[in-house]
Amino acid sequence: MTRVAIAATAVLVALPASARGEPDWNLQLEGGSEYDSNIHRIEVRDGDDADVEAAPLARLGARHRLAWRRVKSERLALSSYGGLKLFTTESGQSENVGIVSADGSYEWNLPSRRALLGLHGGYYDAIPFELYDSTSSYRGRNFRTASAEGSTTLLADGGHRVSARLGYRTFEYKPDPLFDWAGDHYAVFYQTTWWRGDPDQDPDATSLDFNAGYQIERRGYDSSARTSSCADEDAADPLCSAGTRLARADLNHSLAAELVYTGERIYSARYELQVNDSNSHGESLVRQRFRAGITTELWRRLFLTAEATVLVNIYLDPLLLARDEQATTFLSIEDENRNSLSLHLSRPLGEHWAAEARYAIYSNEFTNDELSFLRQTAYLGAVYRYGP
Amino acid sequence: MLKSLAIPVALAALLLGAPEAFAASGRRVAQASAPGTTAGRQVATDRAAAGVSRLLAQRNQRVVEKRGLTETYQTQLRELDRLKQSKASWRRDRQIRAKKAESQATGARLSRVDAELRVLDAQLKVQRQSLLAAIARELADPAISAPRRAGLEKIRGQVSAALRPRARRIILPDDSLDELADPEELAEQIALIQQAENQLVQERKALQQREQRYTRWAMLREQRERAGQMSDLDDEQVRRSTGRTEKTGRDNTGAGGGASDEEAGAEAPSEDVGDSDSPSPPPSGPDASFETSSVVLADVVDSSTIDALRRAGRSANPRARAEAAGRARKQVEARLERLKKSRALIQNHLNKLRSQ
Repeated sequence: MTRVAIAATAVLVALPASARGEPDWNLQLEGGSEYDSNIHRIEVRDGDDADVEAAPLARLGARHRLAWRRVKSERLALSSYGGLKLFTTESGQSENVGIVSADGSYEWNLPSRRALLGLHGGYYDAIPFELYDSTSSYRGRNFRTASAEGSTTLLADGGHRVSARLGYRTFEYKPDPLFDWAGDHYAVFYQTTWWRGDPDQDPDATSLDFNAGYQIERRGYDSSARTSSCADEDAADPLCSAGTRLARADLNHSLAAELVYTGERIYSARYELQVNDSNSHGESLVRQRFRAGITTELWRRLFLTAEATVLVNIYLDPLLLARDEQATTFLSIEDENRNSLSLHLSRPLGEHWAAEARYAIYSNEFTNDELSFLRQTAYLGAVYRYGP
Repeated sequence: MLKSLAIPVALAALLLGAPEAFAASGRRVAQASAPGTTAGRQVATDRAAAGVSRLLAQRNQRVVEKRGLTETYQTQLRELDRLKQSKASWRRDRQIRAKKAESQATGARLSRVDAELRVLDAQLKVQRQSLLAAIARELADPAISAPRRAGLEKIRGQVSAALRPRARRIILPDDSLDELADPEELAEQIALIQQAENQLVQERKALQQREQRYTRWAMLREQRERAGQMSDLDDEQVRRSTGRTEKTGRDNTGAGGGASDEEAGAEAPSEDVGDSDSPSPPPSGPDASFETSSVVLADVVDSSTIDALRRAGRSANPRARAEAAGRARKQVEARLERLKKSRALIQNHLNKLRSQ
């Protein structure tokens, strides 16, 4: 997919200007240093004295976006991202990661039918690497995924927009191929905007965007489904987990709704519900995520974005934590909540540059007392944007 | 939406119909819907809204009727033409007479429907103004509920937009100095230029407001988007342990395998929203004021700016809207400057002529 994106970009660049209209593109480079208080994301069991390690790291990234209309009714969009996270300490090398992603879409507008037809493709790869010891077999939590989709969008007066999508996606979990899967998905989305005040007459008019969507995905795994072989099905004992002759198959439902208010500030609220219905014991769960955010200008073009996320996970089968399995003590929790709060400060410096700082805290504050998780990050960096 | 106003009214009526209200039924209901009360104002608004709905329904009916009659009329005229071109005969003449009578009858019906439409339009205007007045009275009441207030404000926007006169292009007068022109002609030319300047000043103000609003929104949205981008390299999503020990894993991280790492790259529905520059129409609410400006400024700004204005109105990207408004504003200012200079030149010439 990356090659396709590069090739498409190269073709566009090679075309004479008259043939390709006016491509709209921009490039963004970003870099900075961060301090991470828990680089290995260690969860601490109540009463344990775990070795939580902190380390500084460097973050680097580059983004490119391109939009091009061959004719008015057609639009090609390409975007790509490459990023690196480099830890400076030796023990942090296992957390080094490189991200490569590319997305592309081509859309046709059918004005007579007030509809859009589209083709979309995406690729994402998280690549582990170690600067000090490249022979390590550790493959981290990394994965790659690719998807292809077709879409139809119907448009109505007043900015109402309904989209239907169908596509196919593959997922490769690098540390363990048993978790690789592939499957088709179907989705429907709805979007609209309400105005408060007349944008033509009222300089203080504000808008409220509403987005909602539902997606269902069938996931066929390269592994067999597991079952509980013990009389007590609720026991979180690894000896109770037995294989079957059935291939593992999940049905993943995702429902989301979001409101974004734009005026003097931006306020947003989002709710997501995800249900993973698996035929493999221990893999079904219900996940809810609430997110609220605000973006505002504090003073003289100094912008603050604050976002809080609360997760509520309900595991439908007993959950066994790997850490405890290794410690030969078993622990089953019914839910695990990882919440976060992030504050992002940014100030443009001239036309192309911006300075930014970010603080984030992640915790399992609302979980039961068995495990606790705390991670804090602080970042200081700069962004360079370039585009016509 | 107009119909939905009936819901709170019905609820209010139900509340008023509660046992306590029933105790003094007739008198209390009459008091509640008296013109000075909250319920009375709501009833007045809903009546005015119902009146607008009724007139709109009648108007739509006439429009459909007119469309059908127009098609019939065109067909009859074509048939008449065909008959006139056919070979002359008594039969043909008789058919022509019949067709003429038919088409004249259709034409008369069309005229009648046109007249009815004009009457309905006049009534609609009055009824809409009444509705606006009723809404204003009700909005002045602090006791009304927030949903009702929001609904009224939305209706007020729609009705105000419907009452607004159609956008007309600003016609730029000839601003060149004709040294052979009479003083009267020059004075008239100056007045026309002045009129165009006033219109341009108004449009410049509107464009300026739009540019400022969308620039602010663009900054806010870009900052919000950037804050989201910061998490691209973070794996802060919950990781599901699977009960299966990761053979190659680290020791005590608790992050054994599991499919949940996919969350970082999963396409939740939100990832599909906010495509800020998709082909028109846009993914979120259009701003019709850009379309209006593209009509008003058709003779003032260049064609690419007109296209940019039209696209910006349909785009959901505030940056595109701010840029289009700014581009148009600059051209309007340039045109204003030119008109001012021309007017001063003509005025000087006129003064000279009058002083001679």
